[in-house]
Amino acid sequence: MSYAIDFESTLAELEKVVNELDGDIKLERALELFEQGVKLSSACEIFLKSAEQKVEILRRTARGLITEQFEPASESETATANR
Amino acid sequence: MQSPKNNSQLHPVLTVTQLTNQLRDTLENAFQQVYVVGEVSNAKVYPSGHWYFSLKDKDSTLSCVCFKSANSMLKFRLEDGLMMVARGKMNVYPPKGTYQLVAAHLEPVGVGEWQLAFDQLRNKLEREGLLHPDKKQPIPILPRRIGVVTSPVGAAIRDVLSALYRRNKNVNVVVAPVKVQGEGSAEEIAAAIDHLHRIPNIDVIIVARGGGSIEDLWAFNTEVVARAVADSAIPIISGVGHETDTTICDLAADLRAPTPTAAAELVAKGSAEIQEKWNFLNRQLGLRTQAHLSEARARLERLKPLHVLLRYSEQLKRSRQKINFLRERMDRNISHSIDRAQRRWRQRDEKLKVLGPLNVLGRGFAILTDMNGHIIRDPLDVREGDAVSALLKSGELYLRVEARKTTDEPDNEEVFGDSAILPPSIEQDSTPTIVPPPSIEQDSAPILPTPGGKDSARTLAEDVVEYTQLTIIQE
Repeated sequence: MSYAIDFESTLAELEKVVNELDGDIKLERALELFEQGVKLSSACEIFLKSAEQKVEILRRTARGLITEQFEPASESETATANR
Repeated sequence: MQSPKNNSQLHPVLTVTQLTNQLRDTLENAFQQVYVVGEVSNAKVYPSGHWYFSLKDKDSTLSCVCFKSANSMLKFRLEDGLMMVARGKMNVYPPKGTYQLVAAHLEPVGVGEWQLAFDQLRNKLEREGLLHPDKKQPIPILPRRIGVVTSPVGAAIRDVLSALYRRNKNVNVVVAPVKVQGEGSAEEIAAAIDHLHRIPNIDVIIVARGGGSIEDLWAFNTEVVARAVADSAIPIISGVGHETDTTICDLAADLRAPTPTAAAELVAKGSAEIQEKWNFLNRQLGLRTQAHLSEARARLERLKPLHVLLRYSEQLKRSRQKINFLRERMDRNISHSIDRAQRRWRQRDEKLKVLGPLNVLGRGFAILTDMNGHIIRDPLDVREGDAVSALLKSGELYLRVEARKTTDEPDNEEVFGDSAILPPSIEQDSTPTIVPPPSIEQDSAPILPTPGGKDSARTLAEDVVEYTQLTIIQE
């Protein structure tokens, strides 16, 4: 859960930066905010892009629980397996 | 009155056992299969698992027993007040001289046995607070891994996976395969939820099963599944059956979805939304910074008549193009921007070290501030008798203003950034007098620090140019 909370708080901070940029502020401050925003945005991107597509299946073995690659059965196979 | 002796001479005398045995034979032969309806009272479950109870109506009471072998086939629990039809046979118990109905099957009246069992379990869990809204955990917006408890061969797993992919290509799924109906399925489902707790990074679990009859879905109405779902430390989304089916599993879950597909969509929806939100904020970051730069440029345009600005306007135009270019690049690939930002900061640091006020102090200048730390640029900023502080390179002097004097002559002293600088000569004076800064036109160029009239415009331009140069260097 802490992972998700980190991400959400980073995104919330980015939102704050963007909101402040919307206000009547000095150019100097705007540039500061921009720098800050770029860092936050990059951090968010790392979160967003880090997940890779992967489907695994849980197996119980003598060594305990393991996960291995899972290929769901095709439509026709499922139909016969199910009925 | 006749004596017992006379009676016994007329009729054969039976022992209690003989009579009881005759009654038993008669009764048990006559009522080998009987259906009887009545209200349950005195219901008790014995440690042996047998159910003892009475069926009664307005005038009569019938003792009943339902042995464990028979009641284990029933989904519901026996409760006082239920109307039941019992099927069974009559039985006499000689040691006590009592008779009772041995029920082989019980069927609730007015409500289906499945519905009754469902209501009973629901009430029980509700009394324990397991179904309370306060128990619901929030579904994480961006789960690292998604656990799916379902049959590996059913339509449900296909529906779940395709719904997840549709919303978000980068999903990481762990399927915990279970039987979803039949003997032992409830225990498998509960165990699978437990197993997923031992796999790292599972942030949400989907419990799914395609549609079916109430009997097919029964595993999801059992206490063992309900408790595993309610007690799960990982948030659970339940998608069991069709829209119209509600199971105890649905009620115990943190979020209920009408179907397996809908459950997957609820999980993926959050991450799709968050992706859009990030895209939006990212775009706004560039656009709004750009707006500030445009505004600064517009101000500069208005100051154009001042000849000192002319040489900067071309640079500003270039800088705007540069920034436009930068911004587009940033939109295309923001991840490179972090390196740029870091380099930019380093360069700024160095520039600050060279140009910054602290370095200037080393050359014998001092910065005057009032007691609130505000820099004093104008004699009118202080009053006579005010305490002021002079920041030197190696420390601070605390001074008091004795007199003030302003000059109208613009001063050609160099002005560094935001700081008002005292020439070194002043420190040799016995009375600390404040040397007038350049002539002041407070209302010009308000967007940046303004040490003085013409200088204010210069500072604005310089600032923009400084930024531009920095961005150019690292390009």
